[in-house]
Formats: sequence, C-alpha cells, structure tokens
Amino acid sequence: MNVSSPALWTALVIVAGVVLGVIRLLRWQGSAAPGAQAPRWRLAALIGLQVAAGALIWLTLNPPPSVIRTGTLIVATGGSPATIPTAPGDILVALPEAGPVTGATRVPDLATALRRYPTPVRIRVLGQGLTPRDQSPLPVLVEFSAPPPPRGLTDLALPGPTAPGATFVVGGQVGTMPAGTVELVDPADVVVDLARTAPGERFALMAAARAPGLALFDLRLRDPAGAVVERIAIPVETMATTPPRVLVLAGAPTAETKYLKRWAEDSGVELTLDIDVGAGVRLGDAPVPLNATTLNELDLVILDDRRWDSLGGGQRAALTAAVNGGMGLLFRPTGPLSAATRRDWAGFGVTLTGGDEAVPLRLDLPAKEATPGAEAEPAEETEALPELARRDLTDEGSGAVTLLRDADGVALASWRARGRGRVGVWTVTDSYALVLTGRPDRYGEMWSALFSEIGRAGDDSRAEVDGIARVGARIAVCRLVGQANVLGQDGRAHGLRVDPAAGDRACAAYWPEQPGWHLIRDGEDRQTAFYVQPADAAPSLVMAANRLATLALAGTAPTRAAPASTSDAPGSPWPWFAGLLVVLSGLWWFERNRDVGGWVAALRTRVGRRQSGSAARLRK
Amino acid sequence: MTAIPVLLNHQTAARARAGLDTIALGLPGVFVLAALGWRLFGVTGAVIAALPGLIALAAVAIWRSRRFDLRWLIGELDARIPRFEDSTALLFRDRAAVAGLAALQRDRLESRVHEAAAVDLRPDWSQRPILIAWGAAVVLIAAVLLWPAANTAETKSGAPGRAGTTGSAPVLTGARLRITPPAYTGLPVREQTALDARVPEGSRVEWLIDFAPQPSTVGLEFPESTPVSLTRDGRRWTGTRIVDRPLLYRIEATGLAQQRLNRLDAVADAAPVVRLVEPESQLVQLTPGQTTWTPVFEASDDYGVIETAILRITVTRGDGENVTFEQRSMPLRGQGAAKQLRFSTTLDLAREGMAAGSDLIVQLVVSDNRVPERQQIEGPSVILRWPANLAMADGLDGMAMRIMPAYFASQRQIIINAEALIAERRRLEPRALMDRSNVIGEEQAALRLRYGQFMGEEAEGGGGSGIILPTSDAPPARAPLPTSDAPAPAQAPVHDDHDDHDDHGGEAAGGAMGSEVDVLHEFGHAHDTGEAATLFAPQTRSALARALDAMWSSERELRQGRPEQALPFANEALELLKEAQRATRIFLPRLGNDLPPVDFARRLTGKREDIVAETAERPERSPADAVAADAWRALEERPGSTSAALALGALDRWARENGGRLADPLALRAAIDTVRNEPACLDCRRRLRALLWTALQRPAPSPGRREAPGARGQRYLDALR
Repeated sequence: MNVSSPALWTALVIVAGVVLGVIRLLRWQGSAAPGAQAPRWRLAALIGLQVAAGALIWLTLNPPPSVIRTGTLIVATGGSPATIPTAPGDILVALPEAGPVTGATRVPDLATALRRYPTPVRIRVLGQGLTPRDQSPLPVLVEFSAPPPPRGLTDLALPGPTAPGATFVVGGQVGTMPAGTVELVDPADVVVDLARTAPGERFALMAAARAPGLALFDLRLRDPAGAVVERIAIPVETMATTPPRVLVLAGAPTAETKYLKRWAEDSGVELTLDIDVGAGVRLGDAPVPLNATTLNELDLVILDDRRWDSLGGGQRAALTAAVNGGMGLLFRPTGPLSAATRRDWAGFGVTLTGGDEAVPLRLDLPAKEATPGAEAEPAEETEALPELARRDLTDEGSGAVTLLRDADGVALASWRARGRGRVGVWTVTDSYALVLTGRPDRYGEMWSALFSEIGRAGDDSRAEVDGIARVGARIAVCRLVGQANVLGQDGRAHGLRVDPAAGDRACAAYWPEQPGWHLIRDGEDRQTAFYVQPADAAPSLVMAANRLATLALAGTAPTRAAPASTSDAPGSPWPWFAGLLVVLSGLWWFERNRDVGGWVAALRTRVGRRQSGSAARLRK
Repeated sequence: MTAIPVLLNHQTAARARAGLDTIALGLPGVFVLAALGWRLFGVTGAVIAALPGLIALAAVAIWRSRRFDLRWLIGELDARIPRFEDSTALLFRDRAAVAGLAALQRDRLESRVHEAAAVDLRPDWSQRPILIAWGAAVVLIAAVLLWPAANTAETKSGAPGRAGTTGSAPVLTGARLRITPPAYTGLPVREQTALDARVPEGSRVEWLIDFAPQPSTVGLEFPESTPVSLTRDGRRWTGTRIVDRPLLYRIEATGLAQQRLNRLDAVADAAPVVRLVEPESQLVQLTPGQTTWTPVFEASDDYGVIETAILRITVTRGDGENVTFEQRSMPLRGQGAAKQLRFSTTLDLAREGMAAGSDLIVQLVVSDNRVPERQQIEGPSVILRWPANLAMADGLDGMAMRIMPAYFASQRQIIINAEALIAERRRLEPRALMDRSNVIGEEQAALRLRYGQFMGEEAEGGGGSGIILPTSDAPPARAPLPTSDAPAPAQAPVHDDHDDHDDHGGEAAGGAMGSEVDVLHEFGHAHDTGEAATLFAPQTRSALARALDAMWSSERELRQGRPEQALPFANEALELLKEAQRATRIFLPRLGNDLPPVDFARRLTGKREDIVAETAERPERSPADAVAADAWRALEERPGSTSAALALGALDRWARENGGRLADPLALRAAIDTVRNEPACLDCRRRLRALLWTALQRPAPSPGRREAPGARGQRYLDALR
C-alpha cells in the first residue's frame, strides 16, 4: 500500500471520520450538565459502534479476498458431446458454437469464462477447437485432443492476380474423404480441370484467365458417387500488366531466339534481340549498349553462354550492378560450358552441376499415366508434346528456387535472389519445338513464367488480404497507405484504421458483413478487389483452420506458471455492507434514544406488570 | 258507421301523398348513389349502393306518413269544416258509448258527413325541393357517368366488366405449345406448357395462350423474323409458325408486361450414315478361286432411310497408263427397320467383267426420307482388288508409286556439254570423243522427243518410261476414280479449251483453265498434255517445230561425233525454245532474290546505318472479342465500379455478327435482351456474364510482374547482399 494507492487515502479518511466522531461524543459528554451525563457504558457503546462502522466501511470498500479451490476449465466448443464427465472442482463452460451441453455454463466467449473463473489449473478444449474469436494466447496450459480432420477441404490456396491469358493454379488439400474428385468450374459452368483426391494429399488445378476483369470460378469436391460434398467460389482477378522490357543477348541466331522474338511480339512484350555473331557482325535489332542507364530501363536480360564469353569486364560489371538493383538475368546455356563461364556464373551464385551433354526431356507424362480419369478429361484431345532437349545442368545450391519442372521432376528453370533482382537458369535448348508442333500455348506459358518470375518486380500497388475472407470473420488488410476504406456490395464505404502495432505492414481489421466482391481503396487511390465468401462456404476449411490453431495453442507454453491448488479471488463486499447497515442503524437508534436506561426500565416494568397480571389471573 | 270510411279515406290519401312526396324527394339521391356505385364497382356496386338508400327512403316515407293519424284527422276536419262544429271526435266514437246530448250531436254530424268528401286534406307536394333534388341528381349522375375513364384507371379502379380494352393489365394465365413435327419424321404431335422448346426442323408450332383479362391484340415477336399475330378463339389466342431454324420469340399483347425472350431450337435432320459391315476393310484382295463377292452395308438415320438405295459399281481394267473403267448403278432394297436398314447384294465377278489386274469398286448411295429434299449420302467405297499377279500382291496395297521423275539434260546443258567437249577434243582419243559426243546426242534425242510430244509426234524409242513423263512430279491429271469417301465434288462445267489457248498468256488472270480443283493447271505449266500441242498459237507452233528440227540436226551431228557442227543447231534450238517459252509462259515476278549489291565499304564492319529498316510499327490488332471483353468488365460486380457502361446495343450487334464462332448465340442474345428489359435483375446479369465467358477467347499468355517485396523485404534483400 503505497502513498498513491487509493486504499491508503480511503483508510485515512475513514480514520479521520471515526476520530472526529469520537471527539464530538466526548465533548458532548463533557459539556453536558452534571446529572444529564450519560452513563459510562453508553458512551463506551457509542464509541465502539462508531469504530465498528468505520472498520466495516473499509471492509466494504476493500473486501478481503476469498479463497477458491481451483480445477480444470472444460470448454465445450462446436461438435462437443452433449454430456461431459467432470471431476469435482472442474468448471464446465459452453461456448456459443457448442450444442446443448448438460450442466454447462453458457459463456459468450472464452475471455468471459476466464474472467469468471480466473484460476483454472488448465483448460481442456473439447470438440472441434476454438474459433478465431478465442484464439489468443492463454495464460494456462491448454489440453486439446484434436478430432480427426474434417472430411472435406482442409486447405485452399487462392490464386493471386493473373495476367490475361495466363494460367493460374488453385491448390488445396482434402481431409479424410477416402476418394473423390475436385473440379474447377469456369464462370460458364464448364469443368476446366479436375483431379483425383486422396486423404491428406495436395491437389493442384489449373485454368487460364481470359479478358481482364473479375471472375468467379467454382471449386467442387465430389465424392466417388458424384455428389457434391463441398463447393467454394474461387475469385480470380485478371489484370492487364505493363509488359516487361526484355533484352536477349545471343551469340548466334537460332530458332530459339527467332521464336522467342515472335512470341514476344504476339504477347506484347517489348523484346530487343541482339545477336553478336563475332567479327563485329551484329544481327537482330539495333544493339543496346550495356551500361547502368540502359540496364535500369530493362526488366530482364537473357544471355546465352556464347554471348557471355564475348562480354567485356565493364559490361559484366554493369550487369551485376543492374541485377543487384532489381533487374532479372536469365542464363541460357546452349552448349558445353567452359570452366571460365561456370566460374563466372558461380560468381552470380548460380553454381551449376552436371555434365556437358544434352539430354532429352518430357514435359508431360503420357496422358493415361497423367490422369487416371482420362476419359473425363475436359480439355480437347491434343497430340502428345514433342520431346525436347536440355543441357544436363542443374543449380543445386540451397538458394535456388525451381520454377519449371519436367514430367520427371527435373528442374528446367530455377532462380535465386541476388540483391533485389533474380538470376535464373533455363536449360531447355529447343523450346521452340512446342510452337512448331502446334502448342504455342505451352510455349507461352513457360516463357511467361520465366519472364514474370525472374524479371523486375512490379510496382506493388495493391493492398493485401490474408487468407480467405468470409462473412462474419475478421480479416486483416495489410499494406495500406493513407486513409483506406472498403467498399462493400451495397456501395457503402467502411473506413479502415491501421493498427499501429502492425508496424510497417500497415494492417487493419475488417469484418465483412455480406458476401461478394469488395474493394479496398486507400489514400493513393489504389484499388484492390477481394471476394468475401458466404459464411457457409466450405465449412470444413474453417473447421480445419480452427483445429490447427487450437492445436498450436495447446502446443505453446502458458504465459504464467500454474497456480497453486487454492488461490485468492476478490471477495464480495455485500456481507460487509450488510453488517455496516446493521451497525449504522444500531448507532443511529442508540444515539436517538438517550434514555436507554429508562427505556430498559420501562420495558422491565411492562414485563413485570404483565407477569403480575398473569399472576393475579392465576390467583383468581 | 257509414260516415267513418269516408273520413278515413282522407287520412289514407294524406298518408299516401306524404309517402310519395318523401319518395319523390329522396329518389334522386338514391339514383346518384346507384350511379356512383355502378361507375366504381359495376352492377353489384349499383345494387349495393341503391338498396340501403331505398330502404332508408321507405323508412323515412313511412315515418313521415305516420304523422297523419286519427287525431290529426279529427283536428283537421274540425278546422276545415265548420259544420262539424268541433265535434268530429264524436264520429269516431263507438255509437254505443255515446249517450245523451253527445249522441244527438253525433247523429247530426253523421248526416253532414258527405260534406267532408268535398274537402282535400292531402298535404301539398313539396314542389321546389323535389325539383331542385331531381335537377341536382341529373347533373350529378351525368357527371358520375361521363367522368373520363382514364381517371378511373389512374385511381386503380377499373371496371373489368365493361370491356377488355380498358381493363386492368392482362396476365398470361396459361400457355401451351402444340408441336407438330413434319410428317416424314413419324413423331407424334406433342403439347408442352414450357415456352422454350426443341423441335425437329420444319415442325409446325402452334401457340395456345390464355390471358385474363383478355387483351385486344396478341402477337409473337421474332427479333429476326416476321412477327406472328395470334387470333382469338373464344378465350384462347392461337397462332402457328413453321420452325425451320433456331428462333427467339416473345409473347406480346396490348397491356401485357414485357416478357422475356423464349427460344425454339430447331433440331436439324441428320444425314444418314452408311456403315460398312462386310468386308471389314475398304480394300480387300481377291482370294484365289473367289467367284462372287457380297459386300454388306448398314444405313441408319434419325428418322428413316429410304428403302431403295443405289449401288454404284465400278470395274477397272488394265494396268499402268492404260486403265479403263466401266461404271454402272444398280438399285438395292434394304431390309430391317426404317431407321436402320441393311443392304447387301452378291456380285458375280465374272459377270461384272473382272479380270486379273482389275478393281471392283462398290459404293452405296442412300437417302433419308426428309421432306422437301432428301439428304443423299454416298457411303464408303469398297475395293475388291484382283492383283495382276496374285502371288506378288502382298503388302503393297495401293502404295507403290507408278511414276518416276524424269531426268534429262536441258538444251542449255547440252550446249555447255558440247562446248566442253570441243574444248577437250584435242586431248581426247577419237573413240572417246565419239562416245562422249554420242552421249550428248542421246540427251539431245531425249529432249527432242520430250518436246516432240507437245507437237503431237509419236513417241519413239518404245514407250520408255523416262520420256512420256512430264517434268512435274505430280501424276498426270485424269478422270478421278470414285474411290473417294467424300462426296464427289461438283463437276465443273465442261469448257472449250480452244478459246483458252488463244490467249494463253493471260490464263493466270482469267484462271479459267480447268476446274477449281485442278491445281496443276491453275498454277503449273499446262503444255504437257498431248492434245494441247495442237492448240498452240501458230507462231509458237512454228517456233517449236523449228526448234525440233534444229534439235534433230544437232543430234545428228552429235551422234556422228561432230560437236562443232552440232553447236550452231543446238544454239538455234535453244533460241527457238526460249522464243516458244516466252510466247507461252506466264511471267510472274520472283520475289526474294532481288538482292542489293554488296557494299564492300561496309562489309564486315558491323555498321548498319541506313541498311536496317526502322522497326516497323506493329499493327494494332484489336482482338475479335473486344466488345465481349468490354461487356465482361462492365458486368462485373466490382463495388463502386467506374468502368464503362454496358453497351448492350453493341454487344447485341457483336453477337449477331459473330454468331458463327459462338457456342450458343441464341442464348447470348436472349440474355442480352433480358438484361436490357430488366436492368435491375442481378441473376440475369450474372447469366449474361456466364455466357460472355464462353464468347471470350483466351488471349496469348502474356507475362505478368512478380509482386514487389515491399519496403521491409527490400531492406532484407539489401542486407543479404
């Protein structure tokens, strides 16, 4: 109890009051005429009562803590059994998602339960797990015997913004359903891709975006009988992006460079082809000097090994600096690499292992191996892809990220970060054969992936919404700039307040109230569309997420040590207040009735008269 | 007591007068009420309004007449007839109850009762109020009945009983489609209540539509066709139309709310399909000892195959160049159900005229029962081959090429060879010179014979395969054998070759040399047909003839080992040949080899100024589905969208123009129409958007940009360096 604590001051005030009252009593007593003085016992009683009242006021204001025995807080969540056995001392609470549970106290959330029963030794969570509302670090040990994962979808990765014509991938995982299929259905209700599912295995479905705009695909999970188990909308935003500016430096004109140039022209990529065949003869477009100024305006430079050998030191240094500044650099080995080239490229971090041979590769497995349900394949029957050739080189370093693989899983393209830019390797030497055999789409997809992943990054002009937004569940909207708001389907704007604790991620919370497309507009008038799923879309996703989060809570150490088996809790002031009332009313009555002795005498005579009367009656 | 009835008559008359007066006063009000009720609610309204009024009027009339009671009569008689001496009351007393003086007085009055008959005790008509009431009533009733009808419609109180035209908006209460497929299909007439239907092509569709209340006119609007107006038949509107192509239509009626478009899909009659049952492959070899052949075909159709079909039989004879064929047709009758008929016949090989080296080709031509014109289909042709040498005819079924390309030296090459020989002759033995000269002479002979063919000369040297062949590798054009599975192309009209060859040089422009399929004649040099040689222009002919003469002389000299003497003839032949070629050749500019002279000052310097063209402007190709893509964006449910307004007119035009490449143009156009008429219907917009997705093409995959790492990510990456 330090000086600033209110308890000290209240105690002082109470003591002062009591002392004043006692002094007043004594002065009255002293100033009273002799004979009119109260008897000594009355004075003592009044003083005693005043002191008692003061003590009781203090106790009312600061009730002594009560001692509570502690047990396990059993929390029933959604899917809990109706009857839950409890040991003596356990407290059973039911959260709103739980069904009817006999003998449970209904609480609106876990925090309320912890406020009411603050000192459990541990918390045991029953059922499917805590909802996001209750998923905060808990002060005590959490037990959670997780139920098996739900039957339907347990994980889903939504595609990001897609360029027109580009493909996007929807990945996910299915829970315990033994067999089934997932279908990706396009906005016109046509199945564009399907895959078999197995419990616990991931699936990936691919489709192509078309014109810019917002589109809703549909993901359907079907059981072996064909009935739809779950479905969820897959929002796809197609945005036209500024095409990258690419410089292709080659040491010889090949079909590869020719078809690359053609594809770039068709797909709007600004591609400059510069072929140096030696002896000062340059083919292709007007040559671009390699210096910091020109390279800063480029997004990607594609270099083959022959051209690399002919580059001067200054040009190599300019390239290195440009990569550090964010430009992409793609090495394209076309033949056996000299030791010097390997060493140079290793200087970029690209440590290539493998021989100097060309080896064949297959992009797709034969159709019947690829999809067991080939008869349901919605894509038109196309000829098998041709066999391509690649250099037998791989970047085995730890920082390499594989971008494209062939059917056997061998990396065809990989990249690694260097400074702000990326350095990649593309080992296929005759990808143009895809165009010649009538698959320009595959060719375009592969080179699109190379250009977009290795090239310079975009302008980062989007806010970010984590995960799957859902009606009634809070979402975090990050990377906000300035005063942002969210436009709902009803056209009303809801302001967003950036949480200062989020730091430079600049996140704000938003609770969607209605399904459909929403739009985040922030201070710089950047617009980001996101889709809010209805509350009942793919419930197993929510169940799986809750289960995982609760398991994670159960895995973390409690924030405070386990309390003793008994503990204190704030006591109730009401008994003390009742006592105070009794004492005060007694004090009041005792002060008003000055002649307590006379009152007692009168009481005694009245009793005596009644007794004598009854005696007389007896005598009669 | 005879007096009292006379007096009581006065009372009755007064009562009647009072009642009539009341009625005369009140009736106009009742009429006004009735008119109002009729105007607002029809006959029932009039009755309902008039009845209480009449009852109230009757009550008032009775109440008013009740005033004229006995006391009023007595007082009135006393007041009006002095001779009753104020004693009228005695008259109404019972005679027995009156005694004494009163009885005397009563007797006196009884004798004067007849005087009372003359007086009129009836109250006066209340004329002015009655007149005013009737006048006002007439004005009011006229106003109620003549008030403009539109006003009543505006106040939503139409009178349905009057006429359908001014009634409330008609509503479609029932609609049925009676579909009568064409008779040949054999399908029954069916009725359906749905307004969308799939009907066989050529069906008669009859609409039976009920409305309540009845509109004045009803019609069917076809956005791309003439409308059909329905006729009323009792309570039902009917109309018919033949559906010969997919159609959209809309039911329209005066006052009917705008309906959505319905669609009628015309299912086209499929052409019959002929399947080869036996033999299993289209080319079979004759087995040794086979004398008959039984090909079996099966023809199926969605509605029915005509029972009689035609079997085309072609028998070829001969070998190599000398193939002749003979074609005949024979009718066949099929067996089985009408939708699937089986045709077979047994052909006697000897009677068909087959011999070693012949092919027997049969082809079934069937037709279905479509009306008006049948669909005729030529089935696959089957070849029974009798190889010339049965033992050797293994494996190479129809694979061997009969043509080898011809190789011979040109006239220019002959001259070059001869000059080379002359140059070398000093170092050569006479024998060797003779041999080489002879070889050149043979080449000269081959060339002469080749050109000689054009002039109609007989081929000499015994039909050598190297001579008869044209310079082109393509097989010579000849009448096509009916081995094609596809329907035979339409025969080009036979044209007169003579006219064409007069202006041979212009044939490329005219393009009339031969039929459209004859690519060889269209693009190649056409002088390699035998009879064409007689059709050259005269100077060309003479040039060619002189060239042949010169060749012959050249050959003669060469064969005798005198190349010097041969050379002038050879050169003359070359000149003449060139002249003939110039006269008959089509000169086309040859592109690609008009190279600029090499600039040695620049060579191997790498300088490209003024040589390499500026990068050509890429033509802006607006994609074919730009309109659809715009509509796709305009229809998106982006909140606060600022994208362009939905241009439905342009989209509809686009759908009409690009109907060929759309999967379901009718559905798209119906959806456009629905969105246009119901702009607030969200589901309609979503449906239109779904249909637009099918209309959009996937553009060429274009690379996007990877996402920027953000400020913190950049700091991390910079720190990694």
